[in-house]
Amino acid sequence: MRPFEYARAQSVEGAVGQPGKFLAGGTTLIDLMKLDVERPSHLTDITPLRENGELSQIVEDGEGVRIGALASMSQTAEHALIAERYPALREALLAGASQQIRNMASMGGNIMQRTRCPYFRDLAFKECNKRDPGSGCGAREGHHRKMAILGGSDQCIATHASDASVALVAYGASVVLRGPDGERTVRMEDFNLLPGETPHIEHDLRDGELIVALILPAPIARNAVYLKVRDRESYEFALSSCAAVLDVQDGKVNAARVALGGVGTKPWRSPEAEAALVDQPATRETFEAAARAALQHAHPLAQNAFKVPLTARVIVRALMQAAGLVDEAGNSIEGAGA
Amino acid sequence: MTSLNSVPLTLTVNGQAHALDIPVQATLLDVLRERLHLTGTKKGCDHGQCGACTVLMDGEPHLSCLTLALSAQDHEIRTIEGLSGPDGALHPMQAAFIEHDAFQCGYCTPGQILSAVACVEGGHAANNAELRDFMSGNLCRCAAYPQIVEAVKSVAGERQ
Amino acid sequence: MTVQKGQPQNYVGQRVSRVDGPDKVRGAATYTAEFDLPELAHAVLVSATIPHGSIRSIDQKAARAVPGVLDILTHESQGIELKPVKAYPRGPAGTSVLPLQSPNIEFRGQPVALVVAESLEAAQHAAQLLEIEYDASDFRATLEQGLKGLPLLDKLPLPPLGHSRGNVKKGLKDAASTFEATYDTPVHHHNPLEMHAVIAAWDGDERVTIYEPTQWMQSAQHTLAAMLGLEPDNVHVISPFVGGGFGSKATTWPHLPTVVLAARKLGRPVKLVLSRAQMFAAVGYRAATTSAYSVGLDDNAQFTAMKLDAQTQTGVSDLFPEQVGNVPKMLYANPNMALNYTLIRTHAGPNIMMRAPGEASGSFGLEVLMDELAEKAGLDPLEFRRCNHAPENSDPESGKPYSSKHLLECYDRAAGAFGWENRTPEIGSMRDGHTLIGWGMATATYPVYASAATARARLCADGHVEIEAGSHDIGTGTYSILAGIAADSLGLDIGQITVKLGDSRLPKNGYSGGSRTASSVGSAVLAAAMGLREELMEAATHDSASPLFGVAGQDIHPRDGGLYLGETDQGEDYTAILKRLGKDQHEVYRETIPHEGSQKHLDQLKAGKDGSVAAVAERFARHSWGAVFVEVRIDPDFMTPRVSRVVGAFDIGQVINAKTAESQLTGGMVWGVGMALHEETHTDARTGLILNSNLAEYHIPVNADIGSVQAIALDHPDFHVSALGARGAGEIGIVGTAAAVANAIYHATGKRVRETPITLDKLI
Repeated sequence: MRPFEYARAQSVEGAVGQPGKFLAGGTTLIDLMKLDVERPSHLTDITPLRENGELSQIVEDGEGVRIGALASMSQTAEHALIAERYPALREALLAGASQQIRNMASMGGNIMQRTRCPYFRDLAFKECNKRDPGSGCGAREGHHRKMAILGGSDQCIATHASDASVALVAYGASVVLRGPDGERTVRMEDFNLLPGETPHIEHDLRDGELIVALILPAPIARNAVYLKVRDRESYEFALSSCAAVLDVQDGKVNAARVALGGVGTKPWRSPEAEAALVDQPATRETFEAAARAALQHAHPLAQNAFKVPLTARVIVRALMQAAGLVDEAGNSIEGAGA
Repeated sequence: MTSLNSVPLTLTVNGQAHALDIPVQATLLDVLRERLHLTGTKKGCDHGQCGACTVLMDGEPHLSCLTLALSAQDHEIRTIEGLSGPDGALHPMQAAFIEHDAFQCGYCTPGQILSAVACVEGGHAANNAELRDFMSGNLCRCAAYPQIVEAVKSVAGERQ
Repeated sequence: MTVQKGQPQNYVGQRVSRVDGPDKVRGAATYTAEFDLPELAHAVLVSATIPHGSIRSIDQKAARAVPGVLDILTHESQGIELKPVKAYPRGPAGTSVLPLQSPNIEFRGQPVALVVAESLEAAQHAAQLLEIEYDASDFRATLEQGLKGLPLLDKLPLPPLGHSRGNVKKGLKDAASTFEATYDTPVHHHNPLEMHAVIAAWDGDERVTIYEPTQWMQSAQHTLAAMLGLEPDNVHVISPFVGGGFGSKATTWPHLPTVVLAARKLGRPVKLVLSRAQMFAAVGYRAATTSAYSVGLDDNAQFTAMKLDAQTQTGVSDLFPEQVGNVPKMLYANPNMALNYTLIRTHAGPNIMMRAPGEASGSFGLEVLMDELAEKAGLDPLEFRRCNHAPENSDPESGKPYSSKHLLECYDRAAGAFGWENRTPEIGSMRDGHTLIGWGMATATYPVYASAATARARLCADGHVEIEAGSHDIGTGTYSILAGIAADSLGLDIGQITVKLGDSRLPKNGYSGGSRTASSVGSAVLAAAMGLREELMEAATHDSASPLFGVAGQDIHPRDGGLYLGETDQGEDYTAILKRLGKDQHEVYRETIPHEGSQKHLDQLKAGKDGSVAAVAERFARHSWGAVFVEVRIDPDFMTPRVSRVVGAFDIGQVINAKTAESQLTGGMVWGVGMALHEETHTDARTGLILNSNLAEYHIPVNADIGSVQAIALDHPDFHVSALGARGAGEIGIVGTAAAVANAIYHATGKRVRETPITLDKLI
């Protein structure tokens, strides 16, 4: 690891505007610094600010909930407000990483985590537009089994790795940013950027801005599921995942939120799927139509083509579970009328 | 640059305070192993992918390989060397690992045991699925997983 | 002489907790990188980032400017010449490729520089600043690229490894039905949790001490002696604890001499720990294989012929064959067999043995083939295997009788414990609600490699006994096994035995691999401990001051820390005998020649060579046997196979420590599950570089992947193999298990996948 100037933040005001990077749990940043992918000149360690309630507490915020950016993944998953109102976020958090990493990683850091694309993470690969703009994309012509099928560009098809972000997007969360020019709030959907021609720019984040909180609006429904399919049973990134929040009244979908993970270049909200659900009967047929809508613009390559049918099944199953038609093992629930 | 190679730090490990001068980028893992010679904490990947470097920070399992030593100041760090009683008696989890042969080469074992202690204390050992998921952040290449599950269950059972 | 005869067995065959357990659970067992030497400098290895070509330039300026940097070794450094060595199996080195001797690169990950500094952090930082330019050449990085027939590299038919019997052409022609299929296995990396590490410390110019995690101290000793022109005795290797090896630590690798050279140049000890990414480079791997079968069956579903054309990958300079034909050529009765090998050279670097080399990869193809043939024959998979069982008196490969074979009992015991009789044969017919369930099975076998061995037993004044053997405990339980053998031989409590391993100055022993250590070194310890007992008995019965004076030897029992007449109190402690001998210790050294071996094997051992007898020996063919049954559960929506249950029964001869042997067997079976579902090293076709050189993306099973795993060890001592009757437990568990998983997946889904790993994208 290259050395850096290290400072311990004493206050949010003192941290905001500092050069280099903010260090919280370190589970992404220290890893990438060891790989020499990240080379910050300065690190401002914001973990001392955990003592500051604003940055680490999880509190009611009007109709919704405010999660301090330094709240850990574990702390958030175990919090009663999250477990009661945002079960898909709890499930997504617990499906992510390992218990040790969940204890370390902050919620603000979680939404900043970088892709697992090997061409990005290993400097021996010379082609990576995200790491080195203009150098090419090694994955397109190379190994791309785990790459994104949604939101990619000629420049980059790297998958966004976070589970929690998928649930946050589904719940319509916003990011509160404090910068030298004051505070602003950005919707999660807009905070993560598509690679387009600039895959090296991943977030709507300005110089010196610090993530101070995530705001969850009131959930549209209590019924919600985060479903994750992966190569290993645990401690493993998603091949495909779906956060589904479903308001079903009298067998009809009143409102729906669908977001996908493991398949997008950013946490992938699917308004197409949501439109295909609203005002339709809560049936397998409707959910299959929603899955088709979500994937109509998918652009798979040879090795990740399996993600299209897989994701369709993930979406359908997540919706079936959220609608209470099947249980976690996929068994029909008696009397649910599937 | 020279100053970055020698930053003062006080680290509290197993209840003992250590005054050190370390390179700014030193990880907690490397400081424990190379400077404090507390080598029970193991390096298996150095990238947060195996769990061998697990320590308890303020009682919670953390990965010392992804923790800057400088970030660990002001926290209570407990390593495997601090788990046995003051008389050297084995912690019940250490004894259970021996009884159930929950290790072979022994290299992942300190990390497994610290996670296992947290697993039981946090109430995650109630059913096999939750226990196995909780323990999945500690890889065992010798594949003592069935024996690890039995060891953790035996300690959880005794506590109930 | 055996332990079994005429004395109580308090330890051998029992469930005995590891004697090194307390140290391991306290974090007090000292692994290589944990030895603290004065003035220790820290090294970081820099590896080539191209698979083939040469170094054009190395700019060291920025790296040398890092405060604390002591030296940087490259091929341009002076005074680091090394003499050539031969690679295993022709010599004890892992590869003949010498580091830092030229700018040439023949595999990706080849060491190109060693940065040494006062601190680890300074060395790591400087290594990142080293600027290396390469001239890249064409490469063939994978078996697939090698197979495309490009003229760049050789294909090497290896007739000595082939096998032929009967007339395959005729056998196929006469068959009632024939079948052809090809099975592939990918590159695997061993990935022991403890990464390779070295500390080198010189004492003058002629003597060096090496701390290294090794399965074969003599490999390090003799390889370094040859490279540096030293006497082997002047290379002292220390390796008391090894954090897993699995074959990767059996031989030496190019990073070792770089550390030794740096330590000599700097005049102070130097330590290197490889990075996890470097564990995927220049420390060996299991080569990719492809096995093309043509087989014939008669009307009774018995083999008329089997032809296997095997192509396996290797490096450029060395020739290590992944012998996928080992199992197919001998496991089933079949009069007509042809096995042809071709090695394909690639720029992937030197490959080496990895847990059941050849048997694990080869049994995948054979045992999936068996499942396919059973279905075609309309037989239950177990019944089909029974139908082709090779009788105890005739090994199909050699025609010799087996030393001991209880495979049919393995089938019965494992099938019974698993509940195989409840299997319904139709595809997808077993369900738990929405979840698909599949049951599959496979046969396992592993050859016996028995080595010459040496050991010393020493009675000390306080009555405890030291056992010394220059062998290794890589997690296999060697400390505990040897302690148990010695304790039973001498009638001592196991706490009275101290076992010393992992030091090249201890009595010489061979390589801890091929499932040979317990039986081979165990035999030498048995001989030494029994020798100690006899000499003490001799002293007592001939000493008028002893209560045992004049008593016949066969009436004397060792127990309670001494020798006694039968069950009476007439007798005395060992310490009393020692005292009258006027000594503060008494030691006995023994050498053992393996069954069907000769003095030649002992001489080879002492010369740093393998020194083991082949499985097919003069009188007997010697193999272990097993049967593995697997249950998979598959969510049909996602086709995610998960192994919920494994039952294996194994005929491995005498079990010495039931607890540690069971762990070896269950560990092996979990490896088989990992092989079936998870493990694969991915190589980027365009650059020849590895894509998943880390433990997040090179998947080994995590705890949640593994359900119930049960190992049943039959208890049939095989005294044609060793004095202990033991054969070995370390490797057989992985053999066949991957195929059993694949067969279970087929039973659940109807999808026949002829390659590993079987990931959901191959099923959906």
